[in-house]
Amino acid sequence: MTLQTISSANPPDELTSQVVALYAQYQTATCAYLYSLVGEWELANDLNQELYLRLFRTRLQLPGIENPRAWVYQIATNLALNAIKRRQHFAWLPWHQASNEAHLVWQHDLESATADREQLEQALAQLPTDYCAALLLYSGHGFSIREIATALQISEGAVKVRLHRARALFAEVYEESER
Amino acid sequence: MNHAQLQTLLAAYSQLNESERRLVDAHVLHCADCAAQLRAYQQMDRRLGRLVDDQISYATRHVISPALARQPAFVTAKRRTRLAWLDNLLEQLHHPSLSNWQLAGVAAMTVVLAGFLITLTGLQLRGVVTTIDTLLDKAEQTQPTPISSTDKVTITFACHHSSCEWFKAQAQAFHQQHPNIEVQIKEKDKFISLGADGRPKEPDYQEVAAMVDSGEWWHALYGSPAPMPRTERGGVRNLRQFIQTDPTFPAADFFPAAQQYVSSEFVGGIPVNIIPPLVVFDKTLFDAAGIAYPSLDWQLADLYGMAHQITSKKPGKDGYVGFADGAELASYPGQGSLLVVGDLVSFLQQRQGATPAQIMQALAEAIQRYRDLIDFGATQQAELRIDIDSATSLPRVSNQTLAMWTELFAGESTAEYRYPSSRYGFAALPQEMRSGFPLFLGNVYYISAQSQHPQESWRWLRFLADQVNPHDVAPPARRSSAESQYFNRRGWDVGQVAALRAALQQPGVNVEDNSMAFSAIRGTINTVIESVLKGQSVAEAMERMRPRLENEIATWQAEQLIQETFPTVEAFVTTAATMGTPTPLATTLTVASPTPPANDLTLISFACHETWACAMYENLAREFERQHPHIAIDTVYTEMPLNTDRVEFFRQTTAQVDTGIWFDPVEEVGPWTKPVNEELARMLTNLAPLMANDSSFDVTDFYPVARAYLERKGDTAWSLPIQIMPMVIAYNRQAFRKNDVPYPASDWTLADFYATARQVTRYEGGQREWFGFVDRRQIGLSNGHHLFLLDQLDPLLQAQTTVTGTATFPRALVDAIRRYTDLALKEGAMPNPTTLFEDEALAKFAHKASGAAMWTALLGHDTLNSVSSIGIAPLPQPLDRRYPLWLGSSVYISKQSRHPQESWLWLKFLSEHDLQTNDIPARRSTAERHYWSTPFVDEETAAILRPLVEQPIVSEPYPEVLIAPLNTAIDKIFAGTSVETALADAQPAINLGLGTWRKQQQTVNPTSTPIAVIVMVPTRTPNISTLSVPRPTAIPDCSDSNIAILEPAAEAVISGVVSVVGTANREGFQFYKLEYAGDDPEVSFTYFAEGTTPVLEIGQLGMLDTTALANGDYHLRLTVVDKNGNFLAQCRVPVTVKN
Repeated sequence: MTLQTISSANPPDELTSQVVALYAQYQTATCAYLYSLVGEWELANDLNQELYLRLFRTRLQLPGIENPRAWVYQIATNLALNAIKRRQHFAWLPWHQASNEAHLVWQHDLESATADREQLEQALAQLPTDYCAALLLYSGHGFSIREIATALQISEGAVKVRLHRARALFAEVYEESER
Repeated sequence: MNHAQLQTLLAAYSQLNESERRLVDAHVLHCADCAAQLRAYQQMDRRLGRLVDDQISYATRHVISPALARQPAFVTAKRRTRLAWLDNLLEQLHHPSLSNWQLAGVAAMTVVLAGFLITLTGLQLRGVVTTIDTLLDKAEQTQPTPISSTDKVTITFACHHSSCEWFKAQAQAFHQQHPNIEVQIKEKDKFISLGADGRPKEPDYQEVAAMVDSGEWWHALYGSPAPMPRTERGGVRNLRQFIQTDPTFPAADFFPAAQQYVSSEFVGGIPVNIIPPLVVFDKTLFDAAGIAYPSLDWQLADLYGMAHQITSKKPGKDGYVGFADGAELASYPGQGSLLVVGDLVSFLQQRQGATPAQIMQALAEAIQRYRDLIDFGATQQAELRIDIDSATSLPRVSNQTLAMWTELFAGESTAEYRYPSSRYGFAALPQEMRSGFPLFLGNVYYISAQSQHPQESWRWLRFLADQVNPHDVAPPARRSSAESQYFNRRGWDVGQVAALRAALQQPGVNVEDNSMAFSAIRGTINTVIESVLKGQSVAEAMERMRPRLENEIATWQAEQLIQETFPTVEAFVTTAATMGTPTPLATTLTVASPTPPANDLTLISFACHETWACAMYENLAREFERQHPHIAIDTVYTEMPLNTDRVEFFRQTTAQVDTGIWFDPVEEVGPWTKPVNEELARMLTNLAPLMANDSSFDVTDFYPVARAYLERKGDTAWSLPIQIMPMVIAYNRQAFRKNDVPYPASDWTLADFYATARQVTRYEGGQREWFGFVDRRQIGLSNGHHLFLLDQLDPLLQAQTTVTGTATFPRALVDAIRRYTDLALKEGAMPNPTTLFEDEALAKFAHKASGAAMWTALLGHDTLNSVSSIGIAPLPQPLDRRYPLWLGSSVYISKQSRHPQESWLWLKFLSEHDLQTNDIPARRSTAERHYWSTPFVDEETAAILRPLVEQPIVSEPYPEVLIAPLNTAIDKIFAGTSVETALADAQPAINLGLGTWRKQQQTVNPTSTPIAVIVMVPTRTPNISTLSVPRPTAIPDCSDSNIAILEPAAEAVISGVVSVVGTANREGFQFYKLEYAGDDPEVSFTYFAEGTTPVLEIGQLGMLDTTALANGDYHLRLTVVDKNGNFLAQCRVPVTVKN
């Protein structure tokens, strides 16, 4: 699309400022969401950066987006799923010291830590990614069923079913870890 | 619905619709398994919610890959990473490499120009597009239904001339042309009301516009020639659409400044006049010197040459002066360089290909020429400056010894006009200056935003715009009107008319105001010029500013290059987005890795908040890195958007960097030391252990106030002060000379101060020219009134007025209160400090240096950097020893930093180096090296300042519990209560305060003589409950002296940050909390402070920042909670917030 088309369709500056507003509002939440899905802070940071770049590049779609938050999380979910798929084929060797440090910082960041955080994360990690995404969006990020449906590109009925299954599986693995 | 289906619904219970919810609820009632499952799901939600909160919190504070940040090889790359795409772009355009902050400035400027908000790799920029603007524009575009031929409409028009007869005649003529529209002229008197001081109060145009359909106003509804922010436009309708849809609107007939105005996005009115700057010259002096008059195309060099020639022809003792800046063109904000290089933008643009060093050389030569002119006695620039906003009449500087002067031309139709063509000639500004000083518009005709008849009003205004009002005091904004009815109005000669024509051709708006880099350059050059005017040599002054100026010029050049290369901002952003990684929308990079081994390189990030300051820190960082090869400093530019909560901004900043600078000390110090904000402990690293372990750190090297700040808590210090800003009295030398009053002496007393304030207050012709004193910095507010009573408070406390039951309030103190309040209320020598900033016009007036003969000022940007005609005096004795020195900027280390040791070295380094600001360094050795010998301080000022900064910190000699009710009483007096009543109302609280203080004194020093409780006349039983006034709603009283709010008193009018004083103590005490609620306390209370230790004796319970609240009635509530969680009795006090 040419610059001229952009100008005639929508004022580009307004769309850019909308993207910036989304960035300001959700950047940390999406970073946390991505971390929950991919399990690495560094990768989550990279994906988060990529997420807002994509939003910026595709900002012309914004006027047609009914729920921008769901749209942001939709792209985030897709990015995470792609990254996980890619990781199944090949992965960079971790930079051990750095990874350990990052992990340690997270582990020792106890100021407001949830007591069973590690246990919760391990349980989530054992869920299929699409189950994990549905459960996190519902319980952790306060999404409505409709928003989850948009973000995961499934029907609202499917969201309810997926939530039900995710809850059952999560409860099972969480209880197992308690034993 | 079967069981399985219901279980599926259970999983999404909180999001079910009503019918689904009823089904599930009914089922759960009878299915124990499902009920248990629902509870388990809800618990799961809570756990996962907390987990996500933790993750978000972590992501907020650690948004960086620590691995990358701490790799030495990455450091260099990272420094350029955020804006590498822009650097690459500039490289492609063959521009020399820029530092990171310079790149940030270029990107910021380019994007801000388009008026939108964007985040460029962690650089957040403020935009001007707001939702409210969009809504307002939409509202303004709504067209009312056109009137039918039979409708009759009456519209009102506000006239502000001394005589409105002309408008009435025009209204009749208009009515004949438009029989269905009648215009009622409302005269100025209709809008005048009496102010608090009993004098007629000039209304703001917004007040007037709210009462009429249309009207006239001066200054084109602009505070300055620059475009006005949306929030300041209120009250008038945007006429843009009318203009665009009216084919008869004569846009081309307007002079350029007015044409530019009517073509802008927001047109506040139809321009009527223009006030052009002119050079007026005395032909007789030119003739006597045998010099040709200025030509139409003369240049700055011609002006200098003529001034020099005429001055050299001095016939007598006083001699001639060749030139003076009579209309204050050069000292108008941001125009300091006008008389030196003319239009600075053109000056720079003509040298676009030159290096910064070459440009600075040209600047130095130009400043030297100006300095030579002054040294030769050919200009009196300092003597003749006045404030054009507050002057009651424009300057008349012709004194038969002055050959040329500048003037904002207006008033030629008044009786004061005295420039007959037989003696005086006019010239437009020299060529180089014309584009540098934007024209002011005079009157405009506007339509009120609330008018229900905008179409009719527009017809009326269009009619008016075609007429010329003979009472107008400035040239018409339209060419045809000027030619047909203005230039031939008086007996002007051809030369005067030609000069006026040329002057009116100047452009109107200085668009360069949008460039941050240009503003920075202009500010720096102004500083150099001011230094030179104070006696510094050009070379020295320029050398001092060289690093900053070089950076600023390079940044500006890059901006120009970007603008030339990209026709639109969209093109720039689109290109930038394709420049490769890192991308323009990357997240902020933050360092959070542990301190690495000694041989490794540590990168610490440092937050700065102003572009020029970032440049300075960037330079200092390079020097620091040379001294500490294992540490690299990454300066992070973080601009604070307008209307952002400072605390929140501070919180965000500290979460992103290792260390940074803050505008103020992170805690307040001095007599009104506030308790440490517990939140600081979560945001900041305690510097005390770092200081203690650093044997090279000498706290005694800090001036006493900074040292006291660092040492006052012993084991806790949250920031390192690097600057001091003493409070001083600044004075206008011209005002003192005019009144023949000697300047304040360095040892003057409060009595001297009062006498001087009265003597130097000046009224002329019933109009106030200036107040004797204005408390611009509000030392009289925020519990500061008592400072003006200082010469009587010691006797009060020392008096052994032992009485039982009744004693008189010391007469001398009552007199001191009267002396202070009378200055404003009866003598008109000072504006009422409690209402100073309520009255917009008065507040604006008070902020102007020339609005007052004396005013309080924090030494720094607004004093030493001002015009040379301002003098400095210490606060009068004993105020000088009781008012705290303010600390300026301070530097801190973030709690999340993993490099506190390295950060500490950087902080210490900063405290030892010249920060190139006008504030005094907090360290004595640094000040000796870098401050006292700089151009910022002349000998006279240094002699006053040195003792000030060496004075010991003041300890609070008076208990807050005594001072607070005294201040409240004085507030009431300013609000109109009599002195007797106000003091009587304060009686119970003062009684309690003195009693408490007496007990404390006995505890500290059991042998000291107890101070008696002082009870004032009329006698009242000291009962706390008298402090509150019953309201219709049931308000718990405060009769329990263990749970009481004593200050603010019931029904008190409070403003600013208020200390809440009282007691909070009950058996089993766990904590207390303070809350406020709006006028209806039954709705809900909002928490604002708490304490976990009981307040046994009367003391401070917390602080309430009322600036965040809307004006109105509130209730303050104190609640004490015991260890069992029981909410014990409460105390509730009604107050009124009035900011």
